[in-house]
Amino acid sequence: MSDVDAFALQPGIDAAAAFRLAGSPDYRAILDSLPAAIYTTDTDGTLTYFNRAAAEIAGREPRIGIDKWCISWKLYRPDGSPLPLEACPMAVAIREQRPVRGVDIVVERPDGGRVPALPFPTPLHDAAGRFIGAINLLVDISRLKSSERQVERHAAEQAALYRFTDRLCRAESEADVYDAALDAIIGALGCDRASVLLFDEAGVMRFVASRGLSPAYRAAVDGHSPWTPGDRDPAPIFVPDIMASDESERLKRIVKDEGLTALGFIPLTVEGAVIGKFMTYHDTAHHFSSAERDLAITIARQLGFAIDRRRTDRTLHESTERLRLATEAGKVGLWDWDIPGDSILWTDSLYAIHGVGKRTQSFAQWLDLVHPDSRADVLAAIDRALKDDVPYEVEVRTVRPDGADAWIYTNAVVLRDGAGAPLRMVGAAVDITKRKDVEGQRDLLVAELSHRVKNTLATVVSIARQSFAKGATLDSARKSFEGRLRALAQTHTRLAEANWESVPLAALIEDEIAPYRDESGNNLVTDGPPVSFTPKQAVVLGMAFHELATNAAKYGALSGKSGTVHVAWQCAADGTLVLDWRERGGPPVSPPKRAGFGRLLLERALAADLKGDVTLDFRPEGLACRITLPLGSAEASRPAA
Amino acid sequence: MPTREQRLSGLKILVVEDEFLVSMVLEDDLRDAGASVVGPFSDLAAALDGAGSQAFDLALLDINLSGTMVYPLADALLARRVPFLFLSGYTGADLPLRFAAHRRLSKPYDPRRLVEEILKLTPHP
Repeated sequence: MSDVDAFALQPGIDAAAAFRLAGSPDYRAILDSLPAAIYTTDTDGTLTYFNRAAAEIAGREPRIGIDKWCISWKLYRPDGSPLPLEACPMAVAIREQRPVRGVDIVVERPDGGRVPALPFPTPLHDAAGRFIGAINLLVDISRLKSSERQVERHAAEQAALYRFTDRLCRAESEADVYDAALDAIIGALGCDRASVLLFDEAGVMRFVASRGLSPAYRAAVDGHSPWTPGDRDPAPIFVPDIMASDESERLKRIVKDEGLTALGFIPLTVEGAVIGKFMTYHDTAHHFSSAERDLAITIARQLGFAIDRRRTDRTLHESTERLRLATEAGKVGLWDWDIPGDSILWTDSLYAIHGVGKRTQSFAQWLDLVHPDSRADVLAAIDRALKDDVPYEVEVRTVRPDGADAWIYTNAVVLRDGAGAPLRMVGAAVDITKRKDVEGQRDLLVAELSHRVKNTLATVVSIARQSFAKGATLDSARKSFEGRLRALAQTHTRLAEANWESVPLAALIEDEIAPYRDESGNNLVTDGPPVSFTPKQAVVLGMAFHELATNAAKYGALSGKSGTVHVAWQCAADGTLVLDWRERGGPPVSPPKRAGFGRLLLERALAADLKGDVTLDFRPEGLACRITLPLGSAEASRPAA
Repeated sequence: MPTREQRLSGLKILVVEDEFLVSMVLEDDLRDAGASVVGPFSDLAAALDGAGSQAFDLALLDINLSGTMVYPLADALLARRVPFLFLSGYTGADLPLRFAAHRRLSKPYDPRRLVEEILKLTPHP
C-alpha cells in the first residue's frame, strides 16, 4: 500500500491554495493530465470538480453541481454488497471532517464493469481553518486486486496441494487416494468437475473415480485415451472449447450433452511411463494458463507417485503374505549365507524341512546335513555360482538327524561387493522329498519293466536257438518255437492280470493242457491244494508244463484217444511242493535217444533257476514226471522276474 | 559255431546270470568264440564264492539276480581291477552313480557285439 500512499495528499500542503488553484485553467490542465482520478466537492458533498481520469474510472461523465459524494453512480463494498453513496468514504470524510484511509470500494460503471478502487478522501480547510469542502483521490487498484487474487489463488493452490499430499500420506485405500486427488484437482485447478482414469490390465483406460459426471457420460467415453500404456513422458492436452477442437463429432456431441466445454487431459506417469490420466472439466470455455498447466502437472506427479506406491505396497504385501503362507506351511524356506562371516541364516520353515532345531551354523555344519552322494554336486554348483556367476539351482539330498532322507530343491543369487567378490548367497529352498519319492518309484517301475522285457526277449532268443537246433526240420522247428512262445506269452498274460505278483499253479497247468482236453473232459485230471507261484517260478514252470503237454500230445497219452494225464500235487510242511505228472493209456513208451529242449528245461532250468529237482521216468505204460520244488526259498526272492 | 574265428581263445570268463535259458545261450556263444566259462553262477553268494576261488580274466555280470543286485561282486572286481561287463536290461540311469557309466551290454545282445565288448576289456590284441 506504500505505493498508493504516495498519491495521498501530504500533510502540510496548502489545501486552500490547492482548492483555489483547481479553479484556474492552467492547474486544471495539470490535474486532468494526472493518471489518478481526482474530484472535489463543496461542504455538503456536491461535486465541484473532476478530472479526466475520474470520468474514466466512473465510466460516465460526472455532473458538477448535481452528483453528491461521488463521481460514480453506484458503489459496492469489496465483498460485493452495495455501498450507498451517502455512506461512502468521501461522505464520511465530509460529515466527520476527517481524512478516511484504507477503506476499499468497488466502483460500478453504467456498463456493468466494476473497478476496485482505493479512495483518499480528505477534508479541505482555508487558512483560517474553516471547512470549505473535500478532495478525493481514487486509485484504480484493479491490477493490484488481480495480483492479490493471484497471491490468494497461489496460497489456495499451495494449501490444496499441501492437503493433497497430507491426505495421500494418510490414505488407507485407493478410494482415499482418488478422493483426495479429486478434491485437489477441483480445489487447486478451479475446474467444475474432475475424474481419474487408469489403464486396466488389458491396457484400456477406465474411470476409477469421478466427480460431477453422469454414468452415461462415463460409459460413453470409457476407454477413450490420447495415449497408450507405457507412452513416455507425454504432455498434457488442453481443449479450451470442445466445439472448436478437431475431435470427432461423436465425442463433441457426448461432451456437449454432458454440459461440458473445456477439457484438460493430464497424464499420470510412473517412472515416465503413462499409467492413466486425470481430467479437468469446465462447463464453459476455458483458457488453461501456464500456471494451471504447471499445477496440473504437480498434482499428476503426486497422484502418479501415490498410485504407484499403493500398487507396490499391495504387491509387496501380497508377495510377503504368500511367502509367509508358503513358508509357514513348511514347504518353502529361505536362507542367507554370509560368506566372509561363514554363517548361514535360515527361516523357521527351513529348520523344519531339515528336521533340525534352531542354531547358529557355519557352512561346514550345513554341509554335514547333505547326503554324501549329493555333496560333490552341491559343492560344484556353489563353486560355479561364486566363480563363474552361473545361476545356483540344485536338487540336494539331505539327511535328517532322524536318519530319513529329505530332498530339497534350492536356487539362489550371489550378492557381490563393488569389486565383484561374493559377499552373500541368498536363496529359497523347497522340500521335494515327496516328488522325489514318486519319481523314485516311477523310475524303479520303469527299470523293472525294462529289466523284465529285456530278460524275456533274451529268453525268447534262447528258446529260438533251442527250437531251431540241428536235427529238426524247419517246419517242426517253427511249430515248436511258436508253441513255446505262446506258452511264454500265456504265462505273462497271467502275471499281468495278477499285477506281476503271483499265478496259481492250477491255472498254469490248465492253460497248457486245455487244448488237449476231450469232450468228456475225463482225459485230464488235476488234483491238489491251492498253490501260488512267484513270477519267476511261473515263467519257468509254464514253459515246463508246455513241454510236458506237447510231448504227451506228440508221443504220449494225449497222442491217442484212450490216454489220460493225471496231475496231482501236495505241499509239505516245510514249503516243498511235490507234483506228479502221470500219463496212462498211450502208446508204449521208451526213453528218448536224445535230450531235447523239454528235457533241458525240466532237468536243468528248474534246477538252476528254481532250485527244483525233476525226475523223468519213461515207464512203458506212460511217462511219470516228479517235480520237487522249494516254494519258500523261491518266495524269498519274489521281486525277481 | 565252430567256423567262427575264435577271437576269445584262451580267455577265462566268469559268468553270472540267474536265468538258465539265457546263461545257456551265453555259454554257447562264449565257447563258440573260444573262451572258457567259469560258472555260470545264478545267485550272488555262489558268484562271490566262485569269484574268490577261481581264476578268470574278466566277468560278465547280470545285474538283477532273482532280486539281489550284483553290485557287491562288481565292487570287489573293481577293487581287484578285474575288468567286467554288465549284461542287463537296465539302463545306465537305473544303476548306482558309480556304475552308471560302466560298460554295459543290453539284453538281448548280439553275439558279435558281445565278443567286441569283451575284447575291449582285455589287454589281448
